[in-house]
Amino acid sequence: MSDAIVVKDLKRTFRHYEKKPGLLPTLKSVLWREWNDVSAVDGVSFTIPQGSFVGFLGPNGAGKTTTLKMLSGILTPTAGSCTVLGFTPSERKRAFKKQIGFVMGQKSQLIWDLPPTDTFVLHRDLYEIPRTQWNETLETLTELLRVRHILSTPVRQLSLGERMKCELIASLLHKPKVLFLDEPTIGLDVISQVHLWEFLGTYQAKEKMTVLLTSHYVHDIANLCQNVIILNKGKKVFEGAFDSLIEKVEPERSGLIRFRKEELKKEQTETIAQMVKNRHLEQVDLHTYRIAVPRTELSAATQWMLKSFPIEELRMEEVDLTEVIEKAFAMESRA
Amino acid sequence: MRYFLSIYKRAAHLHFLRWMRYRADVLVWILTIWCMLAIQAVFLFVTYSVSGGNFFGYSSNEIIGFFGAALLASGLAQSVITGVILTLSKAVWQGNLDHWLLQPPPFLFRIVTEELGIVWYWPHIIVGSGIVLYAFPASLWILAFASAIVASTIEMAIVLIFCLPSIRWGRWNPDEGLWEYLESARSVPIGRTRSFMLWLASFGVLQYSLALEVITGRLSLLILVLISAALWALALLLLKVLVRSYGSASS
Repeated sequence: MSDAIVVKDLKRTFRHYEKKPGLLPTLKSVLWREWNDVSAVDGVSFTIPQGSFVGFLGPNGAGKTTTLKMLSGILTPTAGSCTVLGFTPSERKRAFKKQIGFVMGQKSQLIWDLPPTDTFVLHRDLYEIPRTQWNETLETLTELLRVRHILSTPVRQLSLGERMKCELIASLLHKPKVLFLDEPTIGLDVISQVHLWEFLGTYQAKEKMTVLLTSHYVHDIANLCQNVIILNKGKKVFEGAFDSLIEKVEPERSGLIRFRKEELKKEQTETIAQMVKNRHLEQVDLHTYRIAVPRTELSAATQWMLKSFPIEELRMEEVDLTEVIEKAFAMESRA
Repeated sequence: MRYFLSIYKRAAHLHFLRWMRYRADVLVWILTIWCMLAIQAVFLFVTYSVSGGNFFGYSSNEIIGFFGAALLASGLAQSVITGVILTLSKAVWQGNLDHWLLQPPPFLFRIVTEELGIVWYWPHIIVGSGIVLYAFPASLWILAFASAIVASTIEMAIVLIFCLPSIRWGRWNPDEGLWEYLESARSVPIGRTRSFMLWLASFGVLQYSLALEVITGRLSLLILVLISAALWALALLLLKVLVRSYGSASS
């Protein structure tokens, strides 16, 4: 599979000046300014194969959106290089722009006072979409996203979820090969989020698009993305499959064990006490203990526990994805 | 060319649809545009009466023609300028610039077509054209229209250049400041003073005076075109700098 996106040592620096409050510092700043360079993206490199669904994660100010903007050609990199579908995005060639789509959760491309259909018609002209293809794509997308009933309602009267679905349609009408999604579920309720996830998963698999998704919601990424790139303070701290990220930052799996206390023999009780002392078990309440073992030893440990003790209940705990991401954000940047 | 024409057509259509949705807008349009035209006509009449038919060396027909050319150029310029300024302002404030940079047409074309004020200023264009046809002999009609159109492009470029520093920082409010100044400057009768300082102080009058110089044979149309080309080259250069240094990182 060839690479849709190749990024090498990409950097973007924003320059701003600092000024103390008050009249004198203001007048002083007119003649002499203290400039500060802020590295929004600092030497990021990665490649994304065609047809993959990749998630960008990172706290606020990590450089996710700036990276997407450089990949789409909105921003010009300060240094480094990136190619998308063989094009240099900052050149903004028409052939390149016809092959990408960008949905921004906080910036609408729909005409506010008119129904979404009018924006779709405008896009038909802008992207020179053949009328039959436009009709078919619109039909499919409105069906999948269940928005047929709102196509004649002015955008300003739509709910946030409905608007976001129409934003997606506007970005997909020309069948882009690469789709950038910048926090598409921001502000949406859980049901709308689930609808969008379902749609994106189905449509991406069907059209074999390359999708880059940034989101603050870990579950967006976990549900949709095969691979994840984590940025923090402009640097890449992780790149790989989501499972391998969990493996890396949360190598242990934990579970709750409830013993049948009345059936425990003396030596078994002593073994449990010893395990608590050695911190292999943590007592939660009178009969319940928490066990944490490396993921690779999970099967053997479970079998041994079931064989060695009278157990009433054994329940594995879900990995807390938010905790995983918090730990990932704290990871040092790779050299 | 066909591609650009189809987008222009679509933009004009959408602009009309958007504008017609609000009845209040239609009412305001009728009141402001037609009242403005009436006031300008009264102003012209007073000027003509006071000057006794010889205003700074222009004949009565030339003054009426000047008014017509000014209306025509003003209508053309404002149709685009109002749209461009509003659009650029909105683009920077609301983030549309991001989307326009991503869309296939050149972003300048997109900006010009997005808020096309073609509906708003058509009385200027129609009444102005009528006056030009009335005031000048048929042999000068083409020259009069060409001069008015080139004059309006000069005005567009100057306004754009002056507005860009504000747009660069996302501060521009199209309802006040420079635009109001330009609006009032256009109605100041400077005439043929040949004072560059005064001309520079009143961009609108500068353009129409230049146009009148061309119509009355005192200036070459080529020079007017060159002035326009030079100003647009500067405006485009500044727009390129604006986009190059566009610093909207996230929101």
